Amino acid sequence: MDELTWMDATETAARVRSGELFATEVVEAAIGRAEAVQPQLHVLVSDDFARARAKSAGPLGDGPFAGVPFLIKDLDDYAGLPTRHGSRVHADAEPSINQAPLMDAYDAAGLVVIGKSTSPEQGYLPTTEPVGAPPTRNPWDPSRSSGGSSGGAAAAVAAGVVPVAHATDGGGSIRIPAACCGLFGLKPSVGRTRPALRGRRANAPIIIAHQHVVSRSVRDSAALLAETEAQGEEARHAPVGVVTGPAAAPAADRSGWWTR
Amino acid sequence: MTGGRPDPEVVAAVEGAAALLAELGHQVEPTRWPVDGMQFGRDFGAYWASGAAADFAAATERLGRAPTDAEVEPFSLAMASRTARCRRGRWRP
Repeated sequence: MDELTWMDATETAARVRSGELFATEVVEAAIGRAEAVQPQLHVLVSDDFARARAKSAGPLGDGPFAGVPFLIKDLDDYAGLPTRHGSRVHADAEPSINQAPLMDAYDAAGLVVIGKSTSPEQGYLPTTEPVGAPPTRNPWDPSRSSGGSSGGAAAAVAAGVVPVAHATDGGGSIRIPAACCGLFGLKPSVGRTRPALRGRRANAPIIIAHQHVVSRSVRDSAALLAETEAQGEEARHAPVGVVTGPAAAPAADRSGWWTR
Repeated sequence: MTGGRPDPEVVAAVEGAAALLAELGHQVEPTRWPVDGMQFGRDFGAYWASGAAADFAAATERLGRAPTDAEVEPFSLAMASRTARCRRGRWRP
């Protein structure tokens, strides 16, 4: 199962669909890998192994990523798991009862959540070293930072635990850990993906929490973006669908660039 | 954004992307960062700190008392207190 440590989510899903791999063995491999790297890299805040095993046993549904193991960043609620926000204040949080539409979209895509990934406190810092927990280390060189704030997500993907993982970005928190860990990190426009914030966070006067993933391949980020795009009344931007290559220039398109 | 020069690799990547877009028919031109980078940095810092202040207030409500520095990290506490010093849209750092 070593190839699962580098295969992207699209390829993994295709092999599950074709019967070449069983979702149970893919998820079991991810759990085994998570357990193997956790003591050194500290990528998980909480695990969802029992539910993941049950889900991988089927029925898998017809989502494009059916059977692919996944992680949710611990700044967002996922039903059945506590949300600790990287903070000691929330160390005793109860499992969430509800989750936002973005999480429903990940479930509908067939992704199998195996746990929640680490973040610095409330995602405020670009490195993942909360005071109350061991630091999340970089799989390429454990003496270095994974970056942050989606540090657990990036370290887990780079370490071969899961092929793709939920991540969020307000000031670099997808892009920085993706760069530190040698991954692809796309920060979509805010509101591009289905609503993710709940409670007081959803009512903040300015929202700059961009939601997406860190991944091993551009096509995974593109396909998952299409899968989780806000549609209809939820959509703040016209949906773009699956992007598979450079688009022809729209008539009114004009771009500027600078390097200073 | 604040006047620093990027590394040569970054310059090459940006120029390469601009050239590719131009080749694909996009209208691409050199320009300047359209906002005051230093001001943007201050505004972003103010916004970021206000999130910590809201978290601090929520934690206070949840605990029935202000969280201590054994519960909230020094960086978050510093940002929350920075926001508390903000009055009428002006910073008094």
